[in-house]
Amino acid sequence: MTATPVQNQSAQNVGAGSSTPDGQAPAIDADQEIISKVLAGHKDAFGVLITRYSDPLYRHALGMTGSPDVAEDILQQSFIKAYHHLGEVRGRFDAWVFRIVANSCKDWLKNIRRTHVSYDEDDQPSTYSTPEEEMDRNELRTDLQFALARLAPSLREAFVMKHVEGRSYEEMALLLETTVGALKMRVHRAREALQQLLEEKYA
Amino acid sequence: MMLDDAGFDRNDKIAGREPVQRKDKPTEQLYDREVPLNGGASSHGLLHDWLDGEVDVMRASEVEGKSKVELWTRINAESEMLRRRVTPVGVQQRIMASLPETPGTASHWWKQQMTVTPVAAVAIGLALLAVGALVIQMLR
Repeated sequence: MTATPVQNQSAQNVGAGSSTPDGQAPAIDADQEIISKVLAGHKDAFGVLITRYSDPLYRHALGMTGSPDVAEDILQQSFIKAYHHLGEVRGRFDAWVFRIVANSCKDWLKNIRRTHVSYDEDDQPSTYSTPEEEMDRNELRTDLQFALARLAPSLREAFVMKHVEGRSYEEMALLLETTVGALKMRVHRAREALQQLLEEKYA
Repeated sequence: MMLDDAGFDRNDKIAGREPVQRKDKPTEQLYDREVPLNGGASSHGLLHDWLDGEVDVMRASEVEGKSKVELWTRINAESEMLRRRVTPVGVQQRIMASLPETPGTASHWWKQQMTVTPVAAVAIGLALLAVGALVIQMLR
């Protein structure tokens, strides 16, 4: 049996393949139809694109920044930017809007250079069975975020896309417009750096 | 310390400056360079193979050690928690509310439609006449 610790979430839309599960109706065509509607003056149609892509984009921003508030801001600004430049979309909307979010995250990291971020402001419900387990995992979460914040943005991005978003190397290569080999290298280096930072305490 | 890829050390070399020794940045911690992994890094090969879903956990545990596998199992569990996160309620509505009525179809100024008021048209006309008169004067 082969263990698969990092499950690929290919069903999520952003850059995760352009077809529906039955492979019949490519989502990219549906996106193009919506874009045409929006450009024709149907502003509300843009809401369909937001609903379709906001979750994976939010997760990316959250993984990169570590802050739900910042992730929300980046998501909002990115969709507004996408709306303003909608007439310039060539190719896949999902990959295009992903790059807007990814670049915004990297710009934020360059400007802020945080040394510590946490999910303290998190309003998501807890799923832990016991308070001890919750405390234990909160500690790991904080330490993991601290370790992630010390990585170069390109390594952090690769780690988040692989481990948090569960993407395949091929999807990542498509979205980041680079090679699978380069991305494997980034993920491996990110893991090694994280392991070095965390193993003294946890391993 | 931030492990980044800004390449300041290389810039020093190009500019002919003496590289500054950073006490807080040991030279062996070059996680971000995209060069082939050396012998030291290859000891983690099986761990990466397991994390990429290519070998089973037992094999990874045997070679890499139980503690490393346990650490990554915990990190993966935490990552999966993050993977279930969804956009907070109200964000989508806020984005829609902040959009203008018409989307941008062209962002460059030379593609944008220009509106000229009568006053501006007269001013432009007078300016052109003045430039024309100046050119004629210079040619004489």
